[in-house]
Amino acid sequence: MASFKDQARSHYFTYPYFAFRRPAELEGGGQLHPVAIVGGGPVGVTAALELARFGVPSVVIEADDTLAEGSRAICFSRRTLEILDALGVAGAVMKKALPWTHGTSYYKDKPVFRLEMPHGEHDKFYPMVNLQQCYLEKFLTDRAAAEPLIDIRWQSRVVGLTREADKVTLDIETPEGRYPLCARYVIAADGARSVMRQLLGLSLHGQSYEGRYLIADIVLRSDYPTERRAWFDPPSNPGSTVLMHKQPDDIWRIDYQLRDDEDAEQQLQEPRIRQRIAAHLSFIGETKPWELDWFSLYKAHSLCLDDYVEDRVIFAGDAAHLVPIFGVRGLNSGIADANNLGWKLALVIEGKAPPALLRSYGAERRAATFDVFANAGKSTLFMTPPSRGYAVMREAALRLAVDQALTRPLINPRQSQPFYYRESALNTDDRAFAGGPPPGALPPGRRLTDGGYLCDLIGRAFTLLAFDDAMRDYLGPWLAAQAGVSLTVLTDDLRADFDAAPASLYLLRPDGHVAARFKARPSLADLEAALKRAQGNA
Amino acid sequence: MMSLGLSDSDLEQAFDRLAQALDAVGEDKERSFLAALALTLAGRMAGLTEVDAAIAMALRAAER
Ligand SMILES: Cc1cc2nc3c(=O)[nH]c(=O)nc-3n(C[C@H](O)[C@H](O)[C@H](O)COP(=O)(O)OP(=O)(O)OC[C@H]3O[C@@H](n4cnc5c(N)ncnc54)[C@H](O)[C@@H]3O)c2cc1C
Repeated sequence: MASFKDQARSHYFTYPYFAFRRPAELEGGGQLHPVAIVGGGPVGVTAALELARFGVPSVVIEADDTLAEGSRAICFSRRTLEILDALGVAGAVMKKALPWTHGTSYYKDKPVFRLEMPHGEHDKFYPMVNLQQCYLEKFLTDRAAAEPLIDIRWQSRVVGLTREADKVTLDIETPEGRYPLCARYVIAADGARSVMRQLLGLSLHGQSYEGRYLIADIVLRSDYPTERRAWFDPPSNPGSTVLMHKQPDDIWRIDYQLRDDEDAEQQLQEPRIRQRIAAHLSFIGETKPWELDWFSLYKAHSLCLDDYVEDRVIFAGDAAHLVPIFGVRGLNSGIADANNLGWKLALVIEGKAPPALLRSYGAERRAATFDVFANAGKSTLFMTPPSRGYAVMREAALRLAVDQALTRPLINPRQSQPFYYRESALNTDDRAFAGGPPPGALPPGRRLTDGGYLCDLIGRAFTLLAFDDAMRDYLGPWLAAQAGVSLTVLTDDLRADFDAAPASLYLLRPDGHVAARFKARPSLADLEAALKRAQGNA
Repeated sequence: MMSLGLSDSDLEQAFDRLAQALDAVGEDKERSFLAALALTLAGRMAGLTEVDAAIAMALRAAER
C-alpha cells in the first residue's frame, strides 16, 4: 500500500483524534470482561454494537488514534444497510450516502453491458449506496460512543496473548505502558495484517490474483449520476480496465489496472497517476478542474483462515478473510460476519446456548466466504485476465457484446448478494413448501400496510412469523415460557410471499435468517426442537 | 438472432474451458485451434443460414 497524503490533508474529511484514556487495568484494577474486540475498524465496532443490542458489554482495543486512511470501501449493499439499521446507524449513512441502481460497462467507448439492480416500493433501502469508509467508521464510532455497553480504547495495541481454559489474556501496549486484559471471549477484527492471526500461528490460505490496480480518489465537480461505470480497453488507457464510482463530497473513485508490462514503482509516481487520470477524464468528456485526494495500489486476493473460531478467539472481517473488492464484498462480508456472530456470542455469554453455537458462525461465514470467492473470482478473472487464453477470450466476448446479447452475461460484475445459509446445522429441514424463503435464507423485502417494512419487525430476537391471529392463542402460553422469542402476525396479503397457509409458521433467527418453517401448524414439541436447534442445542 | 441455448452459468464454464484450451494449445497453434473449433461448431449448426449469421457476427466483432 502506498499513499501520498497524510490523514489530516484529506480534501473532504476531517479526521477525528481519539485520545488515550488510562484504563482501570493500568491502575492495577480490571475485571474479567465478557468480550474483548481487537480492532476498532468497521467490523470490530459493528461487532461491539451487535453485542450491545443483545445487552452484552465489550471492550474494543484499537491501535490507532483515528479512523481508516483514504476512502477504501465505498459501496455498501442493501443487506449491509439493513444490518446497520438495526444498530441505529443506517439513518446517518443514508443522509450522506449516494444511492444507485445501475451500471454501464464499455468496450473501448461502446456500451456492452447494462447492470440493473432491482429496486421497488417494497425495498426499504437501495440495492447499493456509495459512501467513503471513513464516514461509515465515523457513524459507527459515534454510535458506539453513545452506547454505555461499549468501551473503545484508542491508542492501545495488542502485542501478546495467553489462552487458558476459561479466558484469554491480551497483552496491551499503550502510550502509558503495558497491561493485561482478561476476557471470556475475544473477537479478532484486526484487519488484513492481523496480529491475532500471527500470535496464534495461523495463516490465510487461498489464491492471489496477478492483476494490479491503481485506486485513486479525486475531487471533481460533475453532475454525472451515481452508477458503476467500467471501461475495458478504453482509448484513454489502452489495454487496461478502468472503473469509476461517484462518492459524496464531489469525490470520485477511479480504479485502473496496471498492465503486466508496466513498472508499479514508475506508475505510482504522482505525475504519472495525474496523467493517466487526466487522459481518462478527457476521454469521458469531464472538463472541469480536478484534484487528487488519495491513491493506493491494490491486488486482489481470495484468502481465508481454515477456521474462524479458535476456541475462545473468533476471527471476523479482513482478519478472517481477504476477498477481491470487485463486486464490493470486502467490508460488506465483514459486516455480515459481525451480524452473524453478535447474537450467537451473546447467547453463549448469557449461558442460553452452548459454546457449540459459535461453531456455526465459523461454518456459515466460511461458506459465505467461499461463495464470495466464487463470484468475485469470476469477476476478477474477467477484469484482469490471468493468461493469454483468458485475454483472447475476453476480447472476443467484449467485441461480440457490442451488438450481441449472447456474451453480455460474462461482463456482469456480480454485485454482492446476501448469502443463504443453505447447509447450516441450525436449520430445520422442511419439505412442504413450494416457495417462500427456505431455511437459511432471508425473508423478502416487503412494505407493510402501516407504512413500515417487514425488516423492521425482524432481526431483533428469535421471531415467529405467523399468518393468522388464531396462532396468538395457540402460541401464547408457549411464548410466555420462552425468553427472547417474539411473535409477529403478518397480514393476509403477505402469505403468498411466504407460500404460507393460515396456520403456517416461520421461525427467524435474531439475524433475520429463516431457521425453520412449518406449512401446517406445528406441534409445540416440534417448534421447541427447531428453536433448540437454531440455538445450537441440537 | 442465433442462440447457443447455454444458461449463463454454462456460458461462464464454456468461457473458462475455451480460455484454458487456448492456454494449453499455446500461441503458435492458436489459429489452427480456433479454426478447427469454428469448423466443428459449424458442423453442429442447424443449417448454412446459422453459419452465415455466426460468420457475420464474428466479422463485425473482429472489425471493432
Ligand atoms: C482500496 C480498497 C477498496 C475497497 N473497496 C471496498 C468496497 O467498495 N466495498 C467493500 O465492501 N469493501 C471494500 N474494501 C475492503 C474493506 O476496506 C475492508 O474489507 C474493511 O476495511 C475490513 O474491515 P475490518 O474492520 O475487518 O479491518 P480494518 O478496516 O483493517 O480494521 C482493523 C483495525 O484493527 C486495528 N488493529 C490492527 N492491529 C491491531 C492490534 N494489534 N491491536 C489493536 N488494533 C489493531 C487497525 O488499526 C484497524 O483500525 C476495500 C479495501 C481497499 C484496500
